Amino acid sequence: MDASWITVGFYLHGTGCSDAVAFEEYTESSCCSAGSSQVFVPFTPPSPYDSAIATGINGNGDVVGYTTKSGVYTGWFYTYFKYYSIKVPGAVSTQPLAVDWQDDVVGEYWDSTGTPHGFLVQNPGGNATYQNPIYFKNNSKYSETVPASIDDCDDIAGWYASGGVDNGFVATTSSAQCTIGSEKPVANPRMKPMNRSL
Amino acid sequence: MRCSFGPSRQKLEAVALAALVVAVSACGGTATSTSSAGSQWLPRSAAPIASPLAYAFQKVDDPAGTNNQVTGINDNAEIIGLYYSSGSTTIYNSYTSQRNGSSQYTSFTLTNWPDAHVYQTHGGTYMSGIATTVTYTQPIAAGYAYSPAGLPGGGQGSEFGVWGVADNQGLWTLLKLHNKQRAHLCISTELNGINAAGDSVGTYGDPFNSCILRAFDFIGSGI
Repeated sequence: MDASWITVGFYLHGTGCSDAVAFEEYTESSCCSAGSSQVFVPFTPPSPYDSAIATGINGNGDVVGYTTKSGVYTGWFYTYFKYYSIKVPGAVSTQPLAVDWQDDVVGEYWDSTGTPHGFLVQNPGGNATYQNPIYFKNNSKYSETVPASIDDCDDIAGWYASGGVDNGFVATTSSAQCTIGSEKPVANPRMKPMNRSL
Repeated sequence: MRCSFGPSRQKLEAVALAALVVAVSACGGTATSTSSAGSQWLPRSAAPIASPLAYAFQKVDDPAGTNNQVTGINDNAEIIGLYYSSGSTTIYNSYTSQRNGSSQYTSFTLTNWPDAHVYQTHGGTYMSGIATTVTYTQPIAAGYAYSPAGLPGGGQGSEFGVWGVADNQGLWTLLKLHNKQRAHLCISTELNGINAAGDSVGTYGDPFNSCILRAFDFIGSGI
């Protein structure tokens, strides 16, 4: 341990759950800890699946992720106490990676030949406004484009494979619905996730 | 007591720190759970279409590494990403970057847990999410680090494995599954995304079910 590190205490919030899952959190300063405001929320998407992974959360507390079953990925989107599937039609596997304020979701899917593709789907939780998944690709000469993140202005970041090497990218669109830096996060977006308890 | 290390991560080791250990239980009043009772698995029939949006791609590579990935972007156009080496061992180095006046990403600041190591075949710090803070000062970021050292209980095996990490404007937090009897069975806790409120999502290995991965939302993890 670095000599500058000083352990000042150990605090266990909650007792009597020897078989429960808990989390340890190590913070570098005691002044900013707020253990009482921290809530652990496990996700339980509809079965069947072997594993579940959460990959992205937006300012509304909406979450995307995917489940795995026998090596196949199925995307899920959680909003207002419900799960919605995200599965690109014709895809063998769909892996959502991020969601923005408008509930646009980006990720990757694999077709029947095992070829990966990037995708963008808008508002997967809104039945009436659901739109077709959109191919998202940098250039046809690149073997793989992975849109890993999307901001509230629809800018997309990720990477693409070129000659066996990954290159990062930021993609911007003139059709963006906002100006960079113009939008403000809500003062307390945590209110919604706090109400997830059913 | 200062809560932030300021913009220079290199000063981390020079700052006298106090470490607080907080274990937040999943039982009792600190945990809620989601239910799939009201869920809808909606069939989708429409095939993917070409993008109606015209995107302009900008290559963003930290010259320090051969393989680069941008893993997150926030509303201030700040990005977080990483570069890594290929070989028998993969070492990740993460960075943050902001566009310059020409809308290019040319300056990269390392954003690594200060003392990450190698666990099995991977090592370093993999940052994967970034959000804009309410005050628009510095961003908040999340990811995971391999075998981070410098923890309370060091030397007793507590550092092994993969830990979730959050960087709140220079204040780092480590997060890991805790179970006294079985924690050693599952070595992985990862943060994959974070929002402006500091709520992070990720996955951990379930020690009561063959370490299969479980999804979680840790509200307030970035505080």
